[in-house]
Amino acid sequence: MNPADEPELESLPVKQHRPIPRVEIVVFGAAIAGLLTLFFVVPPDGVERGAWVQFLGRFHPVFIHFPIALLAVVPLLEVAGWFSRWKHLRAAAGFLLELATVSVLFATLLGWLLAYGGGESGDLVNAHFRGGVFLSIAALLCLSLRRRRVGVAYGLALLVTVAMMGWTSHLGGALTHGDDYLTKHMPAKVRAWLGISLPVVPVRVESFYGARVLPIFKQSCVSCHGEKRQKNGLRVDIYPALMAGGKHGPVIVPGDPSKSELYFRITLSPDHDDFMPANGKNLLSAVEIRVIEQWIAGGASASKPVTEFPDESVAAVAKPIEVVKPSAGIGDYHARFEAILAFNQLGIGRLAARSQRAEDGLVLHTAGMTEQCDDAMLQRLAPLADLIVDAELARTAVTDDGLRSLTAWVNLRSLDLSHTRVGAPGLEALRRLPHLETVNLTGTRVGEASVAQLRQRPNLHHVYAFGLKPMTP
Amino acid sequence: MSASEPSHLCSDHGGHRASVADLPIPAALREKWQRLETRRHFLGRAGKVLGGAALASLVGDRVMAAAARPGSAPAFSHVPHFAPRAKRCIYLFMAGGPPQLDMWDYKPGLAALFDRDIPSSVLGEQALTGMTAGQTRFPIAPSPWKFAQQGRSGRWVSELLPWTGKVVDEMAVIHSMNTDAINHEPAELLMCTGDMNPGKPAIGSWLAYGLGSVNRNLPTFVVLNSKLVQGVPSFPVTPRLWSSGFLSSEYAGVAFRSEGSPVLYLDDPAGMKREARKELVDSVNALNRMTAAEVGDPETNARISQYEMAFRMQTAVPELTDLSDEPASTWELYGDEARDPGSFAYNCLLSRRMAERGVRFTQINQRGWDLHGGAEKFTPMICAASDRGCYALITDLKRRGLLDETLVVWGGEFGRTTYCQGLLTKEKFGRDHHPRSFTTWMAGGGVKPGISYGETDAYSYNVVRDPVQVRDFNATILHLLGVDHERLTFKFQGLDQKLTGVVSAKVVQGLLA
Repeated sequence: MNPADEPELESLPVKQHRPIPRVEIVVFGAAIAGLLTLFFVVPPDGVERGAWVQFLGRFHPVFIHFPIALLAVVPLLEVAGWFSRWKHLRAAAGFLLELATVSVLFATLLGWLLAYGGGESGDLVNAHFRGGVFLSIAALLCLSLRRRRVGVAYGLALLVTVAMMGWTSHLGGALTHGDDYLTKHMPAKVRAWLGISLPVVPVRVESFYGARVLPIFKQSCVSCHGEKRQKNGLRVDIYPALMAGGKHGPVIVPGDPSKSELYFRITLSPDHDDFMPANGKNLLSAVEIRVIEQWIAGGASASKPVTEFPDESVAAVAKPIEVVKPSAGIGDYHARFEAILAFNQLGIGRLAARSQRAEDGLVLHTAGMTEQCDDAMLQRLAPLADLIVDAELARTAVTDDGLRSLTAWVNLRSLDLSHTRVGAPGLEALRRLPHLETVNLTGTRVGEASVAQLRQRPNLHHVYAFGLKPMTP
Repeated sequence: MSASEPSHLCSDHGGHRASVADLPIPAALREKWQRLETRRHFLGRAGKVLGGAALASLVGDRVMAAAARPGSAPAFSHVPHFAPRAKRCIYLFMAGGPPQLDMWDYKPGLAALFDRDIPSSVLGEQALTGMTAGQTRFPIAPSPWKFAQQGRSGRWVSELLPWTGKVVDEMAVIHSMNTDAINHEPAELLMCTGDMNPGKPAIGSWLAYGLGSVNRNLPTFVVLNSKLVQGVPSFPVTPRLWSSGFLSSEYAGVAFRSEGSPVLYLDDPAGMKREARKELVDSVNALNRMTAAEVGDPETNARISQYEMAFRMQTAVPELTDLSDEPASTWELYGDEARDPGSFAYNCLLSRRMAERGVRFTQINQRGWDLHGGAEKFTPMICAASDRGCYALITDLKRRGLLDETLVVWGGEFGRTTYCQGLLTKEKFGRDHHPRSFTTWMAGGGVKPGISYGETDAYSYNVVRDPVQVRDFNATILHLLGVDHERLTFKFQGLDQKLTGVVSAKVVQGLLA
């Protein structure tokens, strides 16, 4: 535009129409035709296209702020021009409008490249693109009207254009940030006043950290590194605190378990001074250790979804273990594997773990080999006796003599002697068993008096004595 | 059993042993086949190891040996996950669907509503069975039987259960059971295997797989099918209820016959000595071991162990079923009916003997609860047939010191409707299948005694408090036996299969002592 035209602007009567120059008709007409062609002939169709198209298209979000700002300033300058003080600003409005119109066209073209090349589709994309096309046409119209000096029509057109720009930009923002970006944190009062309903919470994929890792920490670590106590300054049940580490620095190096102090400590030999969890409590299972390893190797992220981790660790992951009343003083049977194995191979009884927790001790099964279970078997068990919590000796060949060796079974809680030949003398050894809670004497040769005596014992909660066959003296 | 091949095996062939390798299969084909099989079985085994189980105690020694190697993870005790409250389970399965409101779910208000239509707000819009969906009316049929409070817990129990009423203080009665299935087979499968579709392992199979055997001479999972109750219409139960599904067939339930010899062919044929039979079994197994080594199909090993088990059962089962050593007090308790093999009372007695001998899971199936018509006549008959057995079993276990460590479970696959099926008169009525609420009970190992759990509405139609879904019920059973239902898994068809399925199930904490 020729700057010389500008001073004429207000001096000319508003209603004076000037013929539209042919150049303008051609250029504007071509631009509108081009836009409509894009819109009707090659709209975004969800098919991804070549590198150049996408490369250029991605500048759309960068460039887009330019026309928005320009277009927003135009009415400001026009209105300012009403006042004599800022009259000169009006001259700038024309130039800015031209610049804005060109940049709107360019931004729309970039937008089309992004949507068409990037394989976009959907209602929101279409609406946004439609907005861009009509906004471009509206901007061209504004420009044309301003040149014609059709004051009222231009003013209205400009208002509509700016409003369209606002709406179109909002659609673009919704595409990038999500529908509820602006309203998500809107205070409830404002929300009610505007009549906007609460945002729909998107479905979240469970994070591996939250679903698999945190429960392990909560189960095994928080007694020393939790809310109440942070030994060596380390707290593991809050993600930022865990990543910050403790007194000696970070304990987790994302991506590298072998450099992570936490992983190093939990994989030490349990008798090592630095082994964690300390004091031999809440030992981690092999699977739990593997989960932590995978989590660190995968970047130690708090949000990475479960689905991005290998399946097998997820499959067998241990849920928090039931809290069972700890039975103090029972050693770990793992250390005596060989002896347990050797005993089991004799076929005179079978030791089995009561649970996967070592402190639950062992149970002695004899079903199916009761005839072979005799006093000699009890003797053989002496080296393992302190591990046995539950002895199923029903129907076996044990006698009063054999029961004398039970004094070494210091952790015995349940003893089933039903249908054995045991009589009153055999019960003597039971006095020495401090933890005994249950004794089954069904069908034994014990007399009522001995049973009554046994029942006096404070810790002995259950004494079963049905169908006694006492020896007649 | 010795693994060495007996020398007499193939003496006819001058020392050449017959083998699968001798079959005229082209070498290339055989090689390909073996490669495929090996990979499949390898993957199958890998799945088991990852599932964290397969520590059946029978193979426990082998696992222990492996675990004893330095550097390997302790595998001695994957399962139980925690110390069990119950060492074994006796499951009294009432096939057909017992009528909760004639037995346990006391609804005195219904008497005044005789022949009134059940309100549509109660009836809801869920599908009914084809047997009553076409009815124009759904008239309320109140229970014609009297209820009275029993025990110190004051539980309301029907007069149809005079014996069981005496032991309510041992039980946790669950009024809020509900199921997804409305017809017998899917509903029974859901109860017993956790899935309406066939092909899944039964609870007993899961436990056999996870916990292993205590007594090598008896099956870990035994099924006792009670005889039909004379005059009560019954439909058959399917063996799928005790199938091992995708688990090795050695974990399948072994069904004892209700008549005659409980297990067929355990007696030695006339003229055959036990030693000769032993030799026969050993020889067959030696052949099977060769096949197993050649082909590597785990089912061959399952077959070998079943042969060995069957041989050991030759002595163990007669001892188990020989009731001559039972004292007079047993017969006073169970009644003379227990002398009749295959009766419910007999099976209850047998299940107690199995509990004493380390059988992990005994399921007694009692048919005859499908009371569509003639309920006024058949309900008392089927209740009478099972009432005393339940009482006697609990009492017997308790006095012998076994109840603390034995879980007893009673229940059917669904309940029965409050509304009448067919014509309702003061004398006659019938009840259709009702999955929306039914009553079961548990007693013994780890169960809170003398309580009731959950509640139905005034019509015994919908659960209104503390619903217990079948999967919750099953999760609770596993829990009492020391098993976390989330962690007893088996990889099959790309899923970590478990008894309670993919919908999240919860252990019913309110039932635990």
